[in-house]
Amino acid sequence: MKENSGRCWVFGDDISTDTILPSKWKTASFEPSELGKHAMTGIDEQFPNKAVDGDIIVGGLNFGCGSSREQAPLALVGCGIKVIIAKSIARIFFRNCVNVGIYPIEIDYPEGFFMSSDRLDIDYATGTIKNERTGKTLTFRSIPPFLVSILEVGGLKAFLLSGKRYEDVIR
Amino acid sequence: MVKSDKERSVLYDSGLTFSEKILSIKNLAESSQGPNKVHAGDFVIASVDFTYAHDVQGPLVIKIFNELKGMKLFDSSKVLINIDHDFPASSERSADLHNIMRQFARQQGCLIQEGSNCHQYILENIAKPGMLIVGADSHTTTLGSLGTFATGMGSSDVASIFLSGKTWLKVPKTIRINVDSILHSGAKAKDVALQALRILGTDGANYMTIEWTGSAVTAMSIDSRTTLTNLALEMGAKNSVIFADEKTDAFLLERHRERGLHITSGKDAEIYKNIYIDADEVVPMVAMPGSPGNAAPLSELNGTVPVDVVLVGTCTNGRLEDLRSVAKVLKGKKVKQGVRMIVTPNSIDVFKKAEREGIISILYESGVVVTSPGCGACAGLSKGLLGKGEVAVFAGPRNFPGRLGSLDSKVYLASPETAAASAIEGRLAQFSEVPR
Repeated sequence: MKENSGRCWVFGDDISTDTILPSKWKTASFEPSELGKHAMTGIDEQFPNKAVDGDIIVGGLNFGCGSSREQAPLALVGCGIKVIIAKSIARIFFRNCVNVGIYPIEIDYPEGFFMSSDRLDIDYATGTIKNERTGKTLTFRSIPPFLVSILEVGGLKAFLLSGKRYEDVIR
Repeated sequence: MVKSDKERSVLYDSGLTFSEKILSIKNLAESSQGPNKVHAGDFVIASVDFTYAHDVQGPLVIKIFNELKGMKLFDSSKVLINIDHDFPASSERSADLHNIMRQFARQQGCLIQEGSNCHQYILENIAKPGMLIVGADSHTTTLGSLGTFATGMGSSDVASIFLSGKTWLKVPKTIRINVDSILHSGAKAKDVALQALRILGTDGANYMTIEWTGSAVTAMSIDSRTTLTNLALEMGAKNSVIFADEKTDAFLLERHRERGLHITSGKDAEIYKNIYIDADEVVPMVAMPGSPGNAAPLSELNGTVPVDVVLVGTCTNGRLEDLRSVAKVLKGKKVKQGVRMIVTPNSIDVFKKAEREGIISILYESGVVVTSPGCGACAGLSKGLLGKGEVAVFAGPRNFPGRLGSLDSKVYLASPETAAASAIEGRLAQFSEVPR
């Protein structure tokens, strides 16, 4: 994975998929660009207007809990989100992130480490997140290599279309 | 059922958990060293016995399946297209999405069902002990009440299963919730699950298996057990299981299904965490608005909470036993003026049986509106959504902000009994507060 640099948006604990993409929009479209117009509007009406390509979401515990709707991470893709950093990420949402090409990072960070609008530099090779504002860094444990190989091509669909199978990358 | 050598060697290994055993059996990854036993933390490529998608995820599953140049399902007899989240269609958009699903099912010759909630339909008609089931819905954990390994995934994962019949899984650690002793008449499976949520929170079982054991679980009906495995998802669980027993056998026999493969955790298996709940001490519970993790005894609530809407149904509380207990509370009484109570049986079968038992007319006499079967307002698309400022008691799975409509509404989770009592009283109230 290449390095990544972007501005972050900070949210709290238990941000559910009902908040990431409210129910009334979940079947409105399949297109990330359309779904993106409603991303995070369960908590911040202005989020779709503020987010730009390359932005990063920071959550607390249990980010993406609740419904399995893949439309939720797709809406974030539509807003240009490339990475989600959270203290923990709900398991279906974690899989969905990888499958749609968002890098999920689970890390227990100290309170106040991130503030909305901070610029973060993420180096996947060394597993470090640097906050440009404070100069402080955190290290995270990389996701399993076979998930990296799915992410590198942009998600599960691209991975399978490239002719690869799980058997090629697991073990 | 004839067992293979590998199955035998796995099933009688006292050091493996339920999840380790079933994923060892379903693991397709080759190993030269004899029977391939997997342990918590290992990754497997598992063969899936049954998979399904409903009308929120399903159309996206089909789109991805087509984009993957999917020509044929891996096995059309193992795939269910289920229309339940917005059925009958409440909008043109839903109607169009349903038609995409119908057309797909016709082309592929797979199973299709319209009306019943997907999990309940599979519980009633398809699931058997020892199956590995993956549904495109978070509450797929529900089906573990019949001794299956059942887990939810998103559209891309399920589209890939539609194509290959395979998926990857990390073998989960196991949390065991022991519920011993006897439940009082006022407390139900929902209250036990809310008590567990109070202990574990909404992510206490993230990525893990929750096993429910103990004399109170053994004593429960399949309907009640299913409420437990359903709500395990709200604790973050990958899957949840209640080991198959005589009650499971009887449930399947009644529905003319085979007994399946009974799998239990070995006595020396590694249990990551044991939780003990004394059923005798379980009291009526509620989860305060915002999260199922905000669970507390109803008696600890400060002041009265006036209620506008009462909703009963969903894959959590829309089964026959739930409807029976609502009717028992409401019989001969009225829903308080100014309160709306809406009951959604979660399957066509439940609706028919409730009708035959006279439950539907008792509910109507009490002023309840009974909707057509399915997911009800929980799908957030129709059948009783909440407006700004409304307060609801919900016998359902979750109460995250905006789950049932307005972000400005407040939803308290509770058992069907508590929901019915609250409808009569016009405030959050337990069964024992309703005058006899």
